[in-house]
Amino acid sequence: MKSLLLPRTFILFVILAAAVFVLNIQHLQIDTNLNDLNPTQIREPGLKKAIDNLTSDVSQRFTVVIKGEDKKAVLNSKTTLQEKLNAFPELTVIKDTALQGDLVGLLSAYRFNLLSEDQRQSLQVSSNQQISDSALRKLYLIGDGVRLIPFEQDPLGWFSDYLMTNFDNEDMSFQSSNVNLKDQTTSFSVIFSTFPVGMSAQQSVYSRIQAVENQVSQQHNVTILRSGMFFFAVDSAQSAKADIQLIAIGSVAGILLLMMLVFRSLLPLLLSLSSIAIGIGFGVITSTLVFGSIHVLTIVFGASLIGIVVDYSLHYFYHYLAHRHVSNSAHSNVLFRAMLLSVVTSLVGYGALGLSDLLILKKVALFSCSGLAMAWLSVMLLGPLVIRRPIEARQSLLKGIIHGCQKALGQRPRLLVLAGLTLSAACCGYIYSGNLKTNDDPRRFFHVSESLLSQEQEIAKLTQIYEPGRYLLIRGNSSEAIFTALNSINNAQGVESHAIISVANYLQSEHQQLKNYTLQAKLYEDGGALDTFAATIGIAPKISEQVKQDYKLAAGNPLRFNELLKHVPTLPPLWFEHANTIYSFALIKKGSNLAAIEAASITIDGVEYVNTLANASSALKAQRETATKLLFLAYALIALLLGAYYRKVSAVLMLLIPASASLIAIALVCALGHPINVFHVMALFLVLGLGMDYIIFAKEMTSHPDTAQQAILLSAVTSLLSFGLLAFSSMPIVQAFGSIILIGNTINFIAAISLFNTNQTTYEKGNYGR
Amino acid sequence: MNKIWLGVILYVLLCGLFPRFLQASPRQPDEAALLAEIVPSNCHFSGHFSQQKKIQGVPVPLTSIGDFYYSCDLGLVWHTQTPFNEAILYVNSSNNFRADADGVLTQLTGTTRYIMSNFFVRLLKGDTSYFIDEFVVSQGERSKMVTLRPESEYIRKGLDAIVVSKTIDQTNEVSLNIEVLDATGQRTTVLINAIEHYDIDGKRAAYEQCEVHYSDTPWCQVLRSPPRY
Repeated sequence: MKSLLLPRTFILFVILAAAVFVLNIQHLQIDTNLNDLNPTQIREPGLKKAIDNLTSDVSQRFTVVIKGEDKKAVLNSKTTLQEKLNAFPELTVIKDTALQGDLVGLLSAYRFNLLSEDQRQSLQVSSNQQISDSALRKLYLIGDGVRLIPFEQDPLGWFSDYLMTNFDNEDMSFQSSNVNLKDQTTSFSVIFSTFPVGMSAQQSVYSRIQAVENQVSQQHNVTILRSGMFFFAVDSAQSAKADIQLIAIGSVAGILLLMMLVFRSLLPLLLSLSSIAIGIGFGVITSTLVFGSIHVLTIVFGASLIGIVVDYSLHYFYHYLAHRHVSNSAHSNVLFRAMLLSVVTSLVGYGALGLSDLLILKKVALFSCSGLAMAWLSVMLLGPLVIRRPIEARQSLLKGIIHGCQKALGQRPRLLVLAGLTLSAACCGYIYSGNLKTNDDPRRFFHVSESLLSQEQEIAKLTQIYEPGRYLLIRGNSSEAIFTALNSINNAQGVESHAIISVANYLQSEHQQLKNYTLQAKLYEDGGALDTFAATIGIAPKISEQVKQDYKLAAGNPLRFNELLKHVPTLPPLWFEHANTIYSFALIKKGSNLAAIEAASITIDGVEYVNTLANASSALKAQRETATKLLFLAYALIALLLGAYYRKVSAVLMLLIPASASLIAIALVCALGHPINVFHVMALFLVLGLGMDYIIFAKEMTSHPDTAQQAILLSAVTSLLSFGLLAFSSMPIVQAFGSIILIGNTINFIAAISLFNTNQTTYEKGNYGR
Repeated sequence: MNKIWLGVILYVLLCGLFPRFLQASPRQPDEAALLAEIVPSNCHFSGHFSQQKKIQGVPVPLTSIGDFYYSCDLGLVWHTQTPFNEAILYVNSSNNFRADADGVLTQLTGTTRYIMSNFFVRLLKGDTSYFIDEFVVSQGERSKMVTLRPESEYIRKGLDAIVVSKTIDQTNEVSLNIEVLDATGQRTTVLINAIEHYDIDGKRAAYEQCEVHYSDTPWCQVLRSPPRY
């Protein structure tokens, strides 16, 4: 009765946890953020927030381009599509003039602080009469008379002139809505007012956008292209979803088939499936509790856990079958020791992933380790309940397979060891003779559909005016410091005018605004140019008095960029303030002299030239190199563990098996033409963990080689099924992971089944089969 | 009986719907045909203009008069005589100048460039395809009257509509009336008359004709070789 207390408590705990999980299922969020694959570490909290803010803004926008032969059709389709997209509760179309409209609206309130360079010079050299005459002449001209705010607010037309000079349509940097007369194309931007949370909501919005596009495209006979991180994230999530289905269904079906073939009983199957469900369920719960959501790639990697988790129940049953005639306590000790070593090696393998700086690998590590630990616990606690009824394993089929393998490979274990070591040495030579190709370009991690990629390229050609992934980061303690740095960059040698798009394109510094205000006293003070103009043209005194009064009220109130951002939400967040530091981003126009800009950034205080792709690639390279060093450390730690546990130096030599498997796997992947990246190296941790799992089990069970080999065979088949399916994933990173484990673990299996076999040793002495 | 009433109701409904159906798709005259009625047919001509601008807040309309010369090979000289002496020289969309009474040349920039070069010069040039692409062209209140509304929302920020009408008097003299309504409600009316056509060919001949009008200025030289200025 006492022995049943723990399993029953565990069952109660699992039922309660499952109930809580089911009741809160709506809070379970599947994350598809591709940034989790970005290894760049930002240790400055303010900068991290600024970059997160910018990244979040960029990821919540997308661009639509419409192409067609007939210009009217293109423009009509644009209006129709904008209306349809605006009808989505999640989306807001940024109208062509929204940015200009919002800007003009806000800037007009600060018009007495704004002057162009020409206007400043003119104010310094012109008399009141000259200014008045010039304003009068402009009124007579058909073109120069165009005003963006009413005459009563700007009778001299200085603010209209400032806007027309500074915000000419071609310089409206963040607008990509110009109609190209030659190509009959037009474009507009859309932002997510409410970003859809979770895969299904995102897929739903994606499908609705596609449906609307198809409808408008057919109706107006135009081609519609779109570009944005959202589409890539949904596309990747869909690939991941297909992978999850393939791996989960393939693994579970394989396990069901194997378990039923071998045990022909529902009880062992029930324990295996329960441990899988408990392990994966616990992994989901811990991931959600720690990270707030579960990343879709974690699920892809996590689905492969099925193959590992089932090993524990298999090991448990085979231990039971091997030791059922031994006394209960002795059996328990052997079982616990073998099972503990088995889970520890797997935890070391998966836990090592958490040492990576890649957030995605940390997530996979947490999910896998918590899932493995819980699955192991469930087997250890529920196993005794299952074996209360006798279970039998149908061994003839397995024996046949094992016998076949051994006949082919394990008849001469020493020869196999020699061949393995020779092959490993050859692979080592192959790798070190320069055949190891690496590629740390993060763009190779994703599988992107051809259609999305071609749309992205075409849109970039048509609308992108900035250097992708390159920008300047300006840090300063005051807004003046930022503007001074920007001014230095703009005036630096070799940097073309208008090469840099920054906050300075939208607003002048506070200091400059105050100077502008003082200069405009010449226009709006008593007896100033406005009074001369009013007397000449005969405008009502109340109009000029009101303008002069407005000028007085505007004293000492410059416009700050934060205020501008608040009122013009369509502007990207190029300005971020955190703990007395201002972070500002400046974009670089395509075709600019990048070398000159980079060189200038080195010489100016507070300016940093950022090349995100180069940074990410170099960070991933560092990750790969660190992971390789950590792999050696893991081998050293496991060597110490084995040495301490078995108290034999020869036990440490067992590590040669996963080491050889790893070398052969890497050499084979290289020979197949795949460059190595951090995910290949991370997979080697699992080759070590899984390999040691088999080897320890085989070594611990040398007195029952038949049982051990059958357990290893079943375990290997399930693991290879799971990781083999990963190798066929459409996602390159998953494929990299799966291919290394598939090759490495196959070698682990062959070694474990062939080298720890007393029967074969006997056969070698000439006794087997007689 | 019921069937008869149903038939009557159906007939009335159909009769009521039919005219509406016709109204929903009125036969709009072709935009090109509408424009062809008002744009000049000749490539080289001169004339006089008078401009009146009404501005809210200014008690009297601002009136100016002057003369012009246009050649599709050279560009436009828009010469204001009163209330001050000034000329605007429109060469193409990127080269426009103001010449003041003292002969000082200043390059024009910004939206001015767009409005004047792309609209005014193209109107004189008779570039109907430009108007079809950039404006919604509709029939005005009478024949030979066309209303142009910008398609682009950006242009609409500054310009609401342009109404162009052509009149031919009893002496067969043609005059063109252009009314520009900007977004702030400011209304400008330009009357072009005393139009004289020239049957000339080539840039040199166009320059020589220009010199006939403005021989005492460098304006024609500016139109012929704008990069030098």
